Amino acid sequence: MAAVIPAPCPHRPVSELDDDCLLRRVAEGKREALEELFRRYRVAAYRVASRLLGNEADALDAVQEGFVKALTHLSGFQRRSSFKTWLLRVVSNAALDLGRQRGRREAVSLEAAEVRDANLSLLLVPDESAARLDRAELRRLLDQALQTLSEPQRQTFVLHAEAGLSYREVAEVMDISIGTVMSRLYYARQKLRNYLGPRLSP
Amino acid sequence: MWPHKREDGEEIASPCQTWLTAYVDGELRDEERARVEAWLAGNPEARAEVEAQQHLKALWERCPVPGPDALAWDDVLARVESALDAAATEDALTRFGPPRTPPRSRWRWAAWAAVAAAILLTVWLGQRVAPPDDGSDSESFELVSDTDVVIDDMDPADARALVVGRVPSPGSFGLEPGERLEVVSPEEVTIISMDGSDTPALVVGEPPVAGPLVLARRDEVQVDHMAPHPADETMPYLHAPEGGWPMVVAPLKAARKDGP
Repeated sequence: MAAVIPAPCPHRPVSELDDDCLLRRVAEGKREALEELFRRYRVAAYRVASRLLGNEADALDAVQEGFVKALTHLSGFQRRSSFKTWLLRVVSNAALDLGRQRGRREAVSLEAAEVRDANLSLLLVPDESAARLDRAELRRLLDQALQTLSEPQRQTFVLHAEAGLSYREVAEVMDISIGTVMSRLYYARQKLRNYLGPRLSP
Repeated sequence: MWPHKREDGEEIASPCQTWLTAYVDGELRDEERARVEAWLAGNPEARAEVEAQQHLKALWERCPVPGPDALAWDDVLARVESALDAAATEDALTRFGPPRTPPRSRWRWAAWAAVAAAILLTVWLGQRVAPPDDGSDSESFELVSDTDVVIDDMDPADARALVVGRVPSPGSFGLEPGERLEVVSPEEVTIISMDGSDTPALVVGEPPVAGPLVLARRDEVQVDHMAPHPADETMPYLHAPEGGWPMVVAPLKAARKDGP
């Protein structure tokens, strides 16, 4: 079978190059290409890792590990999908591994949640809730709600909701069918609502 | 009956449920969306489900994860670079670190190999290649020019090869019997200068092999020394199909040993 041979990379600033050209330059040791690739996807990677791990320090560790693994295991990247989906696959798996190793820290502890329940009662109406509830408190509540999901549901939901991946991209990342993605998202939302409902009601 | 469970115990939502989810996420095509909306118009229960999902989605979007500060990003990037440098010493990104200095004991043989390679290349490539002017430790060595190389096709199995030359036609590339020739490995080439447009130029190892290739200019590449790969003694060789362009094929590492 013939290999697909990409076109030569144009002579442009790294910010204007596509991911494939950046990857080739990274492989050549071009640090500015690595910096651009990192700048391009660090936020999505961090958001996924942060939601899966619940704290900044662990999330940054997962981002670091994800970038390193993604770039040193490019042979596993078949280029049927984008580098972003490849990276998020590695980052999310790294985050889940890290979470299993370390356990989630106290940021999402139920004890802390109970202390905050009084404030959460302000969430009477959706439109009011965003304005009146402390955003950090709400974020922590959402983190707790995520913990009620199974690991596959959590990973699916986070890849879609935090990284903005389409159903097709989530399916590629997790190597599952689009139907399974849809099903997991449905049940994930059901569980999140079941958890959040009593806490967001008067 | 819905919902049901797969063999692994995972619950599978009904088609209606998943369609509503896809509707909320804007994942339906126009005609599919229209069908769902027509159905929702007469189904208040389903409408309530959609609104609940939309509410949750909006709630989520109102609470984005705050990002770390610039210093934290710099620290992570530095750690990534450091880890890649460390990995480069082992395998994958060999050129992240400083150029490898060839072992002194190999230099005399390397000089001989450079001469042999230059002679062979001279035979095959005629005026395109000039032999080194002496037997010193660090020889100048001219590769084929940028107009000499285009790879139109390549078998993935050969992707880890050093290729300098033109693949004459799809399917003809391969380790066919040819004249043996010692050629540089990735660590042994110093690119003195290279334009950005030449980035996919000299093909040294890592897949995918990019093309059409534009090689570095003759004065941009210097061979420090040449030797068979220490792991398996594989030797690069010249592949010169009849009527086609000659090329240097150099298996890297232990990728394959089925050369002539």
